[in-house]
Amino acid sequence: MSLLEVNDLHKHFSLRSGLGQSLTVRAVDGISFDLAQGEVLALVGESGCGKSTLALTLMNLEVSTSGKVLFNAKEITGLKGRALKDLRREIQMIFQDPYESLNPLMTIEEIVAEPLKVHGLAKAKPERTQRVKKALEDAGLNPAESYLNRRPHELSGGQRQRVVIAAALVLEPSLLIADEPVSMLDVSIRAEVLGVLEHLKLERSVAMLFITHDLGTAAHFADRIAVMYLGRIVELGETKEVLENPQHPYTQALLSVIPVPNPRLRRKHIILQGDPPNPIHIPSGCRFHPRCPVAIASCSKTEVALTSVGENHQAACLLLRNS
Amino acid sequence: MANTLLEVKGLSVDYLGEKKAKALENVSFSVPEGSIVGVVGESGCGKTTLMLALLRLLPQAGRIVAGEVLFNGLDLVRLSEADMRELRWQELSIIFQGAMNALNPVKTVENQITEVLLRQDSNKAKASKRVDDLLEMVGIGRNRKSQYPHQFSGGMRQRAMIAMALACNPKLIIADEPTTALDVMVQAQILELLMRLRSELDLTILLVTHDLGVIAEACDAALVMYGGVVAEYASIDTIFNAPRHPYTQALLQAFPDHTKAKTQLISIPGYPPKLDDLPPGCRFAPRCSQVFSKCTMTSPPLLSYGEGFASCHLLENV
Repeated sequence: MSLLEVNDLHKHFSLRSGLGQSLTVRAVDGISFDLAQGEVLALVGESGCGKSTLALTLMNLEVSTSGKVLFNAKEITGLKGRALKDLRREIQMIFQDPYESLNPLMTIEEIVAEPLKVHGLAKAKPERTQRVKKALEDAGLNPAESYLNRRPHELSGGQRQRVVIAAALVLEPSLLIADEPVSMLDVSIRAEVLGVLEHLKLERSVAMLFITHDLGTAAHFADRIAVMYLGRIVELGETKEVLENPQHPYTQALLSVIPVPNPRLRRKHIILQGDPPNPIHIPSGCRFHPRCPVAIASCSKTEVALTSVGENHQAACLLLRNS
Repeated sequence: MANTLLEVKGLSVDYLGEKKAKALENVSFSVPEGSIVGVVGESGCGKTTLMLALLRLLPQAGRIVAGEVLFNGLDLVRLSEADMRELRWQELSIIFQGAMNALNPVKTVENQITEVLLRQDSNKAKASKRVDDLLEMVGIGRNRKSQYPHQFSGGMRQRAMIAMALACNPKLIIADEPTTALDVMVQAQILELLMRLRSELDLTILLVTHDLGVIAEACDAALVMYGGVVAEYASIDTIFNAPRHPYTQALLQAFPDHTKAKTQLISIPGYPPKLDDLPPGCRFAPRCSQVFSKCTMTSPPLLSYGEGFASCHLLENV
């Protein structure tokens, strides 16, 4: 059974233009996927493709426009009050910037204990400290004791990001939504933080939605990859399969331009010109067609849903459906 | 063999403050004319300080305390400020990290480039023609030249920065993280542009980045820096396929590579040194997996190993 099931989720924002017309930004525009317990799904795409909006909508930090999200087979769309608070114990989020997501005035112990306080858990001080220490150790901060009374400014970027992880872990959630959790960190530190997340997945069966623009990092860490373009998933499949046998022209282009740290592997780049179009004016038909190097006339007319292109591998492209 | 355009010999930079920070120590390398040399390292390794020192644009507290920077044989360290000003833009220029902050928000793109040109030659008609040519060269439509930076996307701003850097036909371009804040597709566009300009204009480029992938794709040689010193300097193939410094080796194992799905990344334990609190001996010793007693006592000199240079005591025993 899936832990998380997302069905045709939409999140639209309305904007008012200067002329009194109202415009719609279709940031998330029909997303469906599921996530099993202990599985890591990487959501990959360029800026503005809607990946962060999707995360916020799943967390109920943004109210979805339409569609359904099931968590443990229970619908969580539109939850409010007590029910929403209870859900947050199960789903926690890790943000990108460890310099901005920690309160500089609080000690590490206070920061990590705060979620417990909010949820009225572990009210006795010794038990609380115990749980904070355990979370810090799970996040790779050893010995935990030596961090309790320090404040964020005394820690390096990598240590701060582990504190952020510890604060998410202290409630023992079953799903983590991590929005670019390592992109601010240096390479040598990045691998370590990914190691902490990997450990959680293996030892605690925590499932993760790993949002990133970096397919390289996703390659090493994710079980499956979903490639997003303008609010939609255009390709979804097992990591190795998507990377070695990409089917959608967008995925192929994206993979061709990711720098590979191997000078003997310099390849031909498929460079798409221009910037991704804006989610206010989404092109008709396949939304990728104006930039697609292999588009045919009917691509501008027909919108294509994800179709199976292999075992556990789907892509949304007209050319794949015809062949 | 190509001429050496830039040769840096024993360059050291200190930042003065409560505690002196040795931001660069004994940095030496040379850049052949027409090549793209990558400078790679993590935050705080001194790559930006090195670029600023080459241009003599160090902040107030920064001092070049030793060494030479020979540009076509001329020692830039010893030049007067007035002479140095003559060289900037015309002989060597820089593309800064984060084009949004480097461009003036209240001037049009055309005006900003013209400003650079008029310093060299006050003929306005000539300057205007040159701006058109430059914008065409970097792929910005003429109809956009009277726009302001905020009307440009990130990639377009970076193109405008490149046009400005090229304005006075410099020989050497220093590009400091030119693609860091950009999406990967836009990054590919900018890198392609730089490589095309290199061959069309016979440019020599120093490309500073923390991304080993960018180095592998674009450069002929790479300088790997760690804690203010040169860890290794060699041709691109040597750096990636037969590196000799343990830091270069560790960095490669920590770097994600999408062609190697589901393999384990290996992190480097510990943290980079603080420049005002350096370990005795080799700066990498506290994190090095091959450390031995000598490493914690004396800092290794930069040694040649045939295909390149590395500062590591392990090379002394060979």
